[in-house]
Order: sequence, then C-alpha cells, then structure tokens
Amino acid sequence: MNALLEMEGIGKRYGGQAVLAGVDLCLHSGEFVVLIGGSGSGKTTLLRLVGGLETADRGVIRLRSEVVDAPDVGIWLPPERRGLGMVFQDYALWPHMTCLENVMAVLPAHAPSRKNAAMDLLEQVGVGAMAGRRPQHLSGGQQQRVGIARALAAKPDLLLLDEPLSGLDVDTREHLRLQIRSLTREYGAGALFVSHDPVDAWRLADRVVVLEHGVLTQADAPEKLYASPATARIARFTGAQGGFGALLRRQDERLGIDLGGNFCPVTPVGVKEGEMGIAFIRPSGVRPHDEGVTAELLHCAFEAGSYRAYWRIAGISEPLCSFEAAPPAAPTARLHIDPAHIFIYPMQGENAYV
Amino acid sequence: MHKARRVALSSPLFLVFAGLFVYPIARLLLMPWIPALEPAEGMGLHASTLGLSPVAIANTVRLGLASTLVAVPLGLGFGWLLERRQWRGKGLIMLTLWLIFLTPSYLLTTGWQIVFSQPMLHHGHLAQMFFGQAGIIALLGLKGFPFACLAARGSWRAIGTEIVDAARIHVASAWRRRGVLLRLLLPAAGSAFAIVFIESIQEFGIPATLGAQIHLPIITYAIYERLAMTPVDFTHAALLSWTLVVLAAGAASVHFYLGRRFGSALVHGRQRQSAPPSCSRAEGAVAGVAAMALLIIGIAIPGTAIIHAALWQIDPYASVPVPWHTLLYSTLYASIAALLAVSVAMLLISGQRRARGSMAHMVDAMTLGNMAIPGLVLGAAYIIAFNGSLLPLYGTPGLLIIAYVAAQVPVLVRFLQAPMGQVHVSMSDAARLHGMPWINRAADVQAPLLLSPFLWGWTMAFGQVFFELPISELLYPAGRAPVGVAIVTLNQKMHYTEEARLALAGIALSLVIAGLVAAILRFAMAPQVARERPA
Repeated sequence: MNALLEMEGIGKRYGGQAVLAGVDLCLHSGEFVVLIGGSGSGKTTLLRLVGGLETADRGVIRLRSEVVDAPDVGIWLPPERRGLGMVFQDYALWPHMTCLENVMAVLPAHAPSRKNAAMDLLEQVGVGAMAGRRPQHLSGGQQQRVGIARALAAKPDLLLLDEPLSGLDVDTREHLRLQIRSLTREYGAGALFVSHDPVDAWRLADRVVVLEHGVLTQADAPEKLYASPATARIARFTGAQGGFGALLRRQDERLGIDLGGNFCPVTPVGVKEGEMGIAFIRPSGVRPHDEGVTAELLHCAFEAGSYRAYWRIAGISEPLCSFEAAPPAAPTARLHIDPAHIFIYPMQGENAYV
Repeated sequence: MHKARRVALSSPLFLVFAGLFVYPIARLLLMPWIPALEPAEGMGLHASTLGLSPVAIANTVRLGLASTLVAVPLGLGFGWLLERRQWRGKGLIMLTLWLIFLTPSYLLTTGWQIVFSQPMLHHGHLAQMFFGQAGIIALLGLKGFPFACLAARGSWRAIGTEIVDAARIHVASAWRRRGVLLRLLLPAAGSAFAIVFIESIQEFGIPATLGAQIHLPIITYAIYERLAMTPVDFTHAALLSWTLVVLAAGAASVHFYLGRRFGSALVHGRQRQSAPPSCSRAEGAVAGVAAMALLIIGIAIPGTAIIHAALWQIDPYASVPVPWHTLLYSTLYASIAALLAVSVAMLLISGQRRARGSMAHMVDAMTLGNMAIPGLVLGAAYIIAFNGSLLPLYGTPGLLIIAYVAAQVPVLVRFLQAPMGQVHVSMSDAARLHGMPWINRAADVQAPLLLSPFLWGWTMAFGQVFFELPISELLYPAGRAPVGVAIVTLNQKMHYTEEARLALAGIALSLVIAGLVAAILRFAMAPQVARERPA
C-alpha cells in the first residue's frame, strides 16, 4: 500500500507547553485511522497540522510523498493546496449559504454540472430535501450530513474528521458512523478520524492510533489494541476497570498477583517480577468458577440484555465487574479471572493517575 | 512561513497600538516627572494660575459617589425586573435605556436647562436645586443608570435562579437566607458601582454645560480649562489626568475584588435558567410607575423641551446664526473615523481570535484600558504627543480623526466581539481546507458574513463620533468645529433655541444616515433571503 500521509518526529508547542512530542504516523491509501485520546492529548492539533491549519515546530509531514510541512527547511503548503476534505466538530457550514451552495462552493468553478453533482451528494447523505435551506434551520445531525457532503465534494483522497459525531444523539451518531464508513469506502478515500469515543474505534477503524499527552503510545488494528493494550489508559479504553496496586510475583512458572488470597495469573505490560504495579481487569474476563477468588456481591444492574454485577474482593479498594446472564442468586461467589483480561502496568508516570 | 506571515501581519497592529495608545498616554502621564516630555516651548508652560484644583478632585469624587448611589439601587431593581420577572413593559424599559445611553449628556442637560429656564420654574425651589450640585448628581445618575442596569442585569443572570432556589430550600433561617442572597448580590452591586462611578467621573458633557454654568470645578472640565486657556498648563492637566486614571483604577479594583472575594458562589457548571415568573399585581404597578417615570424624566421632558425651544424662540438673548456648516464637518469626520475605527476593530478581533499569545493579551489590555482612559485624557495626550516638530499634527483634521478612531476602537472591539464570534474561525478554515482560492474566500465566505457586523459597527461609531464632545473640544481644527463643540458653545452662551435647532438637525441627519446604512444592509442581504423562499 502507498503511504498517503507520513508524519515524522512531529513536535508542537503552545506557549511553553508541549502539545505534541515526536509523533510518527503513517496512513495508507483507503485506510481508515481513528485517532483517540483524552482531552488535551493533542489529537485535534495533530489533525489541524495535517490540514495545514497549524504549523509544526519540528518534524516533517508528507502528503502523497510530497513534503507539505517541514519547518527545518522552511516548507509549508497552505491548506487550500493540500487537496483534503474536512468535517468539523462544530459543522463550520457557511450560514449565509444554503446547504446546496455550501457544497457547490467547494466544487471547482469549471466543474461540469456543479449543481447536479452537489445535489447528488446531498441526496446521498440523506439531506437532499433540505438543499434550499440554510444550515441554521437544520438539526445538528442534518448539518453534519451537509458537512460530510461538502467534505466529499472535491473527491479528496484523504478525509479529516474532527470529532464529527460528538454533539449528536446516540441514534444519529450510529447512523452517521455507518454512513461515513460506507461513503469513504465508496470514494476510496483514506480517513483520519479524531474521537474520544471507544465505539468509534471499534466500529470504524482499520487501525487505531492512541495519543497520550502528545505522545503516540499505540498504533494497531482494533483486535491487537484490545488484546495488548500498551498503557493503562488504553486498557481502560478497552473496557478494563480497577486500577489497584499489586505485586507481580511468580508461581508455578507463571507471573501473577495475589487477589483475595488466591494467586491469579496476569498479562504484565512493562512490570518486572517482584515489582509493584497497577492492575486492571476487563469484565468480560470475569466469570464464576468453583476454584476462583471469593467475592462479595455489592450491586447488580441490568444493562442492555445482561446484568452487570459489582463485586468486592478483600484487600482491593476497587470493585470488580462481571457480566452475568441472570442476577447472581447468592451474596457471595467465587470468581475466575482470565489472564488475557487482567493487565498490570508499572506504577509510575501517567498510569498512577488513570 | 506561516508564522513569519502572522508576525508580519500583527506587527503593524502592534505599531498602531503603540503609536495611538501607549506613546501618547505614557508621555502625558509621565510628563509631571519628566519635564523633557513637554511639547514645544513658547506655549506658556508653567505660567498657569489655575494649579491642580483639589476642589475639582473633591467635587468629582463626591458627585461621582452620590450619582452612583442614585443609579446603582435603581439599576439593581430594574436589572432584577428585566432578568427575573415576566412583564409586558420590558420593551419600554429597554427602549428608554438605549435612548438615555445614546443621547449625548450635553443634550439631556440642555433639555433640563431649558425646562428650568422657563419663567414659571426659574425661581422655584426645584430650579435652585437643579442649578446646583443636586442637578449635576441627578444628571450623572440618569446617564449612569443604563450602565448600572445592564451591569446588574448581567450579574442577575450570572447568579442564576438555581443558586437562589438552593438557598431558599436549604437555609431555614430567614435572616441567614437574606445573608446568603446579599452575599450573592455583592458582585452585582460592586460591578454596577464601579461602572457607574467610572462613567460619572469621566463625564465631560455635563460639567461643560451645567457645571460651567454654575462654576462648579470638576476634574474633566478642569483638564479642559488647563489645555484650552492661555497660558496652557500641561503639567497640571497631566496630574489631573492621573487622578482620573487612579480613581477609575480604584473603582475597577473594587469591582474585581468583590468578584473574586464574593463571586465564588457563582462558579458552577452549566447554568440552567428557568422561565421567570410573572410580576405580581403590586410588582407590576411599581414597575409600571417606575418605567413611566424613567421615560418621562430621562427622555420625554428634555426631548419636548428641546423641540419646544427649536420651534419657538425661548431665550432672552438676541438670536445668532445657527452654525449649520458644523453638521457637514461632523458628517465627514464621523464617516471617515467610523470607517477606519470599524476596520481596525475587526482586524484586531480577527487577529485576537487566531492568536494565542501577545496579540490576544494586547487587545484585551487595550479594551480594558479604555475604562481607565477617558476621551478627554486621550485628547490631552494627543495635544502633547503630536505638537512637536516630529509629528506636528495638532490642529489638523487628521489628528482629530485619528483620536476619534483611537477612542472608538476599544468600544467597537467589545461590541463586535459577539457578532463576529458567529463568524467562527472554522468557517474560514473550512473554506481554505476545501481548496477555495483567497479571492473566493474573501468574496463568498468572509465578506457576506462580515458585512452585517461591519455596517452595524460603522453606524454605532458614526453616531458616537457625530456628537462626540471631549476629544472634539481639545483637537478640532480652527474654523472647522464639529457639531458637539458648536452645541456646547451655544449652550454656554445660553442660545438655547439655536442650540436646539442644531441638535435636532444633527439627530435627524444621523438618523437619515443610519437609515441609509440599514437600507444598504437589507439590500445586501436580500438575495439570500429571496433564495430561501420556497418555490
């Protein structure tokens, strides 16, 4: 696959604050990359650097193998010459133009039958009937559909999407998510999609890129990210809960931690034998078992077809969760934890605050 | 390259800021301690017999405080009514507030001067009070009232209904509940107090008309006297300017202190406003009487008096020719100054919105600094700064227009921030990112979106400059005085009929011009409105 976008050693500071520190990223033609991270992690800045709406302090950005931003050699290509499409979080539709005019404005002036092409796009995203209206008379979801149509109008090979679903209700979000995915496939465009919602990563991404405090901590396919979360924050992102201190020790040739008096094998990430770490457990790896850890039922709540049970284990401050088909009958139970769903990270740096 | 271009774009703005604000004001304020900063010799420096005038300072503080005590309780009450009650007369109150706010203070004063000059009132007890400190306090209070009301309204809104409801539910003791509510009200009162006090001490139109008539020394008029009379006394004018700045800064710090000390209760998350309840019958009656009284005292009586004076010769002195030509000068000055001021203000706002550092701070500092630097001080600073051999602009229309621009830009920046905020940066970003050439971006995206705030800002600046007084008094070119100067000159000579005719003609002319601009705006927006109509 050809690299559509390459970023090497990208650094950006605002005032004295480093927002991005040495980020390397590659995106191939037709690839859908979801960029996730918490507030202030630098994900929107990264997107704006690709778009040319910000300039990098250091590093190199290449689009279609052409250098578009390289501060060291004084190269910077303005956004209008990068041939991209962008969907904005706040829609950024031009309020003095109708929806049709918003899309037409992006099409080249000499393009044949501009009006028909713009209308087709609006029809395609499901707002053809609103073509003559101004954006402020549309709902948020409808406005964002117009935003998507506008972004696709010039047939870009790379689409930038800055949290496009964040202001919308769950139904609209799901509908638009699928629409974005199918349209990018249809147009053969690559996409860099910024989000803080795990659902976007699972449902959209060919590859998930995680930024934490300006540093790229993992860039993997969703399956790999789920199986081996590189940091505590990513573990939480994959659904792991907890964050309790534990000592990593070896027993019967396996590495694990003591949990309620029982030895539980774990997946260590960067913690060595004999070191204290911080442990996270995914509910999907917790199930009742005769030889498991003794736990006391704290609370049970129905959650979309199954029951989420909260358990307390002696000596652990955080409750443990499991998904059950029916509410547990007894106030206590023995729980087995699948080592593939319990991770232990070094108790230092950002992990300590997750 | 992008950065270099940004620096290149912001540098001229920094230079304009330094040239128009920092240099003249710093030179004026530093002059008492650095005599070398005084302008060219031969202007009668140090020969003045007027001195510093502690009486003027004491009078200013006393009158400022008294008018604040008049305006703030009224402002809090009307602010509460506007924000916390549903009442049919809200529109009337807002109209009255805007009319009082927009009417030049010297015209309001003139209206009341005409009323109390009538033979049947002239020797009465009320007239004696009016032609004294009570009259000045009442007029300052009247002019300060819109500021108090709008500041209090904003504070009532910031307090929110939920926080008051929480006090009502959780604090059982009525006394403690009142204490909690009083504490919540303190920032509102402090904010209104500071704004009205600053406006009162910086007021020039009332001291120049009624103040001059009753020979009551007030700082602003004292500064004017030291600069307008021979021998010119720059040093004492500078020292008096200092007192104005210090007094304004003191009031502003009270405002900030109260906000910080007692405003913690207002720090809460997303505020939800419930619909205000309707006025009770008693509340409605009190509100109705108060609103009518405000309209009658603030607008109806002085307005009727001016119209009456214009139609019938009322003053005892022989009639003099009305200086109609001043209308032409004011139209020219105001048109050019408004065009420049609104352009600079919009450039600053867009720069501020894109910048993250010094540029944003500079614009903030400039707009806040305007609170402490009244037009008169700015005019005084310009006389000194542009009187030397380096930039001998004093006495030219150019300097007068530059001073108008410098005075209007901070106000326009504040007023246009909200309407320009609708033109979100991302709309321009979207245009760039989707490959629109700059000419299309400017013509199709930015110009249509900015046209409305531009014309709105121009109209506002035009109206303000057209009747502007303090800067005009100090900087007008000989033989080409603007209308405000002519009106006050006629007032000081008690030619009320000619003054009223000129004032009414000025109001009519500015309304016609504002109407023309509104028509242009409507015409410019018409094609898009038409497009929206269903076929």
